[in-house]
Amino acid sequence: MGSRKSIVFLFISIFGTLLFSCQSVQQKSETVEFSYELIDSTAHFRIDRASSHFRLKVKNPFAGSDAEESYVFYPRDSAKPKGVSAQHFIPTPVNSLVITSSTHLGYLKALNKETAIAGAKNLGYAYDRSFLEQLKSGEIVDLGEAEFNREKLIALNADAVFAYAIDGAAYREVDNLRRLNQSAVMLAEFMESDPIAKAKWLEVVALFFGEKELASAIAQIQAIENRYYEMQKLAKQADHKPKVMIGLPWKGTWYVAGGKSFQAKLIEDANAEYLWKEKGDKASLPLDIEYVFEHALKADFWMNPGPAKSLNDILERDHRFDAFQAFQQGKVFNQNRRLSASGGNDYWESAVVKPDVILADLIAIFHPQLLPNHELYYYQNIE
Amino acid sequence: MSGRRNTNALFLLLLLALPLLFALNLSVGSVDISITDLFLVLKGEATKSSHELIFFQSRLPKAFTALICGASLSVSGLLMQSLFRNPLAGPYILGISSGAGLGVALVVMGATIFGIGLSASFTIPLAAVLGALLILFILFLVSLRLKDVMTLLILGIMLGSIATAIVGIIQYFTTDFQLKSFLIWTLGSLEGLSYAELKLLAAINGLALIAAFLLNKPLNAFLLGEDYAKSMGIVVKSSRLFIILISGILAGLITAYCGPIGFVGIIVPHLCRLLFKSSNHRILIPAAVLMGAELLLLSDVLAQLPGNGVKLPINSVSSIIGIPIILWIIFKKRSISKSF
Amino acid sequence: MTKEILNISSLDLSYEGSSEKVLQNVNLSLNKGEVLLILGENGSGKSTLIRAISGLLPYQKGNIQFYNKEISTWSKQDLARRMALVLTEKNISGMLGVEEFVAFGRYPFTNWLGKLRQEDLQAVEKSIDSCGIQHLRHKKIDQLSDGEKQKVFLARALAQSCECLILDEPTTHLDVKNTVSQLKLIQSLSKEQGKSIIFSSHQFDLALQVADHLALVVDGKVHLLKPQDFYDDCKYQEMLLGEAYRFDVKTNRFSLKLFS
Repeated sequence: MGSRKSIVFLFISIFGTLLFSCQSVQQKSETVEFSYELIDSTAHFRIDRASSHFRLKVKNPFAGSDAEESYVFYPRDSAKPKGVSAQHFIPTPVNSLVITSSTHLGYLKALNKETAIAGAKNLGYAYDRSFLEQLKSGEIVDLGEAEFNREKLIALNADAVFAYAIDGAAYREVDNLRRLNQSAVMLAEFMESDPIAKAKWLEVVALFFGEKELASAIAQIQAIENRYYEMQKLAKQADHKPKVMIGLPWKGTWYVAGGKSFQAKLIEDANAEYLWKEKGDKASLPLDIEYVFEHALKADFWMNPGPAKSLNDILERDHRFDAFQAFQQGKVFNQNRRLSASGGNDYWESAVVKPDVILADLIAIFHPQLLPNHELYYYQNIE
Repeated sequence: MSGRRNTNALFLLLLLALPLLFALNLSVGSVDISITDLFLVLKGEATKSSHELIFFQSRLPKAFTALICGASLSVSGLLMQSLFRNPLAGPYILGISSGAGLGVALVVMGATIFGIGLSASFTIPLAAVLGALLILFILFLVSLRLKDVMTLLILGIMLGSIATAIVGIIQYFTTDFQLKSFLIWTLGSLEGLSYAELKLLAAINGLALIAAFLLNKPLNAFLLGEDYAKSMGIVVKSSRLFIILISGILAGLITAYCGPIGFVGIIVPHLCRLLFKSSNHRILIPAAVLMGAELLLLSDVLAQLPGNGVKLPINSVSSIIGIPIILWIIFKKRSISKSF
Repeated sequence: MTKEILNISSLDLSYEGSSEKVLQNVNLSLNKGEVLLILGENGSGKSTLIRAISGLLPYQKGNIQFYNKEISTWSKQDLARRMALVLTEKNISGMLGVEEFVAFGRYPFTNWLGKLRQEDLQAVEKSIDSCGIQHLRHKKIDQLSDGEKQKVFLARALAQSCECLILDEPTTHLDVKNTVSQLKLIQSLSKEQGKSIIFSSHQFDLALQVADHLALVVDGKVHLLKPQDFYDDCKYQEMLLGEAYRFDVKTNRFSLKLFS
């Protein structure tokens, strides 16, 4: 029948045109005029140095993306480097920044550069008191929660925006930022599964403030790394590996971090066994409550039970949870020791540059005999 | 004839209101820009460069989006109400927005599950369009074999439910962050369209609106039922297909770029019928274009009422405006089917 | 020269979507300018037959030729210029004015925009006049009584300027005066304007007086007669009317013999 054929043809041509026009964004190839010396790199960033500038490459900035972006940082009083292509050219040191995550605040505090923050989006749950006060008073411009307040952002005219995207939708937002003339640099520290790699993004943040800051950041990281490895070595002295379970279910389903995640790595480095290390990748997995009962009933430790601040909170979620051995023995710990009055948790803010402290906490929990004098920093025993 | 004069007068009123509301929309925002400053921006002598940027990169695209979106969704909803002779039908009744949502969900949340993740910025709209097209395609194939238009309606509703169910399953397996990202898409937003995207939208939807107007005869004929329509020379099967296609294009592309924006498509056709006291589509379609655009421009202005940079999601505002109107219609008429 | 406009041969009809046969082996024909009256009890299949003739009901066995062309091969547009319908269903959505509604009858002749030209407006005027609904023209459809709706629907069909009108129970809901004027209109349309009309009615005594042919639908069969045959032969009267009514030759009218 005539109309049926023409309709099928119409659809195929629409589909085809759309799919065909899906060209992936190509980065322009650089003219190789500079010789670059590698400063540092992780799975998701790479800092190189040329005589006149630093080059930052961020790759795979969110799950499933193969994108790679380049940024050039050059001293403010020099000319903008020619002959190199980048998404943004940032004159350093920057005077005003827009941040979009509490980890950004954490990095800046570690560098003592939080005064550079001029505006913030989605930071209503920050921990730092003075930051919150400045946000409330308007000294730091509140740029919205879920969506950017575009007009205020434009009016602010910051030197750079710390942006991130966790998926394609958010990536579109980054595009929008660039259309508004913002220098949006993508930070992808959350993609790192290695605690040290995550901390190393301190160096990326330091780039915004110049060479000296970068050097100081590198030194800081070096110290952190040394302390971390020392802790790791210490943990190996333990005689047994306790079993550890994590999380609190929502409506009967446990969403747990996968075996290759940041959480899992820390636990392994603390010489304990993460019960679900075999399961899946980095992503969080939903587990049925029966499965959890089956495998975790005899776990030695129960970590990070959601927002629970007391054992009662856990019982309120589900009265059956007193069956867990860890619950009965009082070996339940949560990373919410440092909470602000408004509900902000410092773990999500400063822990990103303190992996050695997290590790120390964990070792003190799992193997108290190894660190008898350690005072827990992020973790508290839930009672 | 007085009826004709009234209709003309009403159209004149609506035509005059449009540029006024457009201008109102342009003058409202979280950064205070006085009227004089706005004029300076238009003349090219902006006092601050941020004013120029705000006006041309934020407010103007948003206003155009509101205009196109309101017009498109209203006409799309009108087409659905007339085809199915159902006063509660709207642009999304056949599952178009659910299909779009499925496309977006796959891209936004599917990255971690399936490892797919395209990084171009047109990924989201493209995924939404493909999702909507898929639903349309299934409907088409089925409608060629169906005799009864009500069965088509039920099928559309079910397809929408299936798509929503699949989205639910995907949501089940994702992290909080991505969930929030998807939820934000479902709230709908008029912001963030580039001029290139606006041009595409204007071109395609503009053509679709003209096509809708050219469908006024079958649409009117369907008011009498399919038997009489056939006896008046309307080819029912292909008319149905075109009406569904045009309605789907109007709703699908908008949803791809702005997320699902509800209620406008359901209320505005009723408002037009009440205002013009007519069911003749030669009058209703242009009326819906004007009223839809104006309603959304107004909703956007009201969404910023809280002030201090707080902006309500457009979906909620259009619902809050819409629900009392619908209730008023129902109470006034006592039975909505009579006016319908 | 009489021209045959409708020819039905060996037609079997079932209800839509079912295989149960309603009518079997229907044979009838109609010439131009003639009036065919379809009589039958409720549920005998009159409407089904009418729908089949109008091309609304597909059939499996037999043949329906309209102007020598099989009914389903007609394009909708061409058919609409030759045949106009009034069905029993009068459920209209929306707020349509009477005049607007009658003008819909011009759809087969107007362009994309439905613009009414001089000749269209004249056809509408003439139709409104013929049906006697001048006083209703500014009302809305949902404000009409059943009888008024009946007349308005006929007006719409008339406005379609077709040679053939098919009317399913056009006299239902009408009072005596209006029934008479409706039937008189049918008669003048056929005699003065040469239109061919097929209609069904329960007002058999009045309707018979304007019919040229009679199709009696009884027990799944269609008997084609002339009105005179019906007056003369009690057998047919009994089929339709049962025991009670008989045509009295002496008084030249039907009389009710309930209590004798």
